[in-house]
Amino acid sequence: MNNLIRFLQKYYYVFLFLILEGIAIYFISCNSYYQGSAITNLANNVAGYTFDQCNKISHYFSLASVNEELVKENARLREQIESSYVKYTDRVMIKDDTIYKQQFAFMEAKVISKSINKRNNYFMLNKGRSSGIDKDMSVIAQNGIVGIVTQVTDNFSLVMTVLHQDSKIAVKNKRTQASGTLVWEGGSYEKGKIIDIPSSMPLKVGDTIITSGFSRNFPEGIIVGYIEKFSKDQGSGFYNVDIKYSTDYNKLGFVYVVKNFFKIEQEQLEKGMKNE
Amino acid sequence: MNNSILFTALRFLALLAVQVLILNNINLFGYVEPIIYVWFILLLPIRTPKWLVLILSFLIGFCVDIFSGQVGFHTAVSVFSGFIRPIFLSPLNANQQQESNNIPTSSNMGFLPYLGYVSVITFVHIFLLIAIESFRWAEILPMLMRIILSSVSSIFLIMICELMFFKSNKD
Repeated sequence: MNNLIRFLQKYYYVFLFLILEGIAIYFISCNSYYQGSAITNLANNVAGYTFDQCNKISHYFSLASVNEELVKENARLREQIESSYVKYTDRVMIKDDTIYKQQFAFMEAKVISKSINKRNNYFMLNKGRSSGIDKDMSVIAQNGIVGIVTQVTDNFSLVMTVLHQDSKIAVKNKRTQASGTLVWEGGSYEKGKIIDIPSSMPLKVGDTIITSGFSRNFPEGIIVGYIEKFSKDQGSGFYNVDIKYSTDYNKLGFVYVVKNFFKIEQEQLEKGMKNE
Repeated sequence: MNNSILFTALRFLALLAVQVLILNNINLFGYVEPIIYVWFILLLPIRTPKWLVLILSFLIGFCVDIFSGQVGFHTAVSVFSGFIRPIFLSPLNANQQQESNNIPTSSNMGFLPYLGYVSVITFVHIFLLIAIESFRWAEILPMLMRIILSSVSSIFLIMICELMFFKSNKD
């Protein structure tokens, strides 16, 4: 018994080390398997509050560039309104409301913290469940895609950006409609990679890449980036395509969260498919 | 002794704030993830009991984790760094002339031993952090590049801060 106590006294810190390491590993497993567990919720709330406060200050420094972007977007939207088109005919077009059903709604949110230099990058937004944001919703910016919401608390949400090793988004070439998958292999935050485009399809440097709508979170036709260079992979019969993102993730301040009204319906169908 | 607790607490808050509010937002070439909070673990007074080092390492790792979106990675790695710290300090500890409040600095360890102490622990810390967070065989080369660039920049940063804050005490 004495020996045991002496042994414990001598090596107590090894046991403490193992216990603390165990707790940390438990935290890590909470991240990956039980999204929205108590510990991640707590962390997101504390971090969200702090970043929100800091953002109120740092926000002022970027006002000029944010303003400029808003003016540009305003101009673009103004081009689309009716009064900026010349009417060539007096015939009235009847738009039957029941043929159109709104599938996507967009909520604007502010980015309060972000990382772009890690292998797996997350953005935190200043809106959460109480504003109608839910897990798996997609996030887009003024001129490009951003990522997918992975965690939500009442007032904040965490977005897994396209700059993440688990991010896989269905995209297509706007010109030829050839579809592929957008991934990120680390390195520069300005460049992504597209895999799975068969090498029988023609490609051109400068082609625009848009979302294909097959990832059911993203609406079809949102711009992703432009092809910078590509090469044929002899073995697999697919292209290796490098693209430049259309969004500058470093400067991003405001984003839109996309709500898909038909998501549950689409998921039910998919579930039926798997059961058969 | 109270002074020492106060300084430790201040260092905790200052390094946490610098890490979370400034360094986490820095982007250099897409590969560099500078880490300075490990300096807190390195700078704990030499005579701090081992269990306290482990607990404090756990705390600072956890606080950094809270702000990084994924809880656990920094905590696990910090505890490990706190665990291996005594191995490098035991020669100093054996030297009985040390006062109990002394912290490990270049002036009482010598510049080269101090550089070695900082380099090894920081490198191990960053190696484990990046390896646990994103290990894939297919990406082994970019990962090694990340580890090397991040370690070098972190060690550089810590040594510069060391020269700025502690060099004047010696003169």
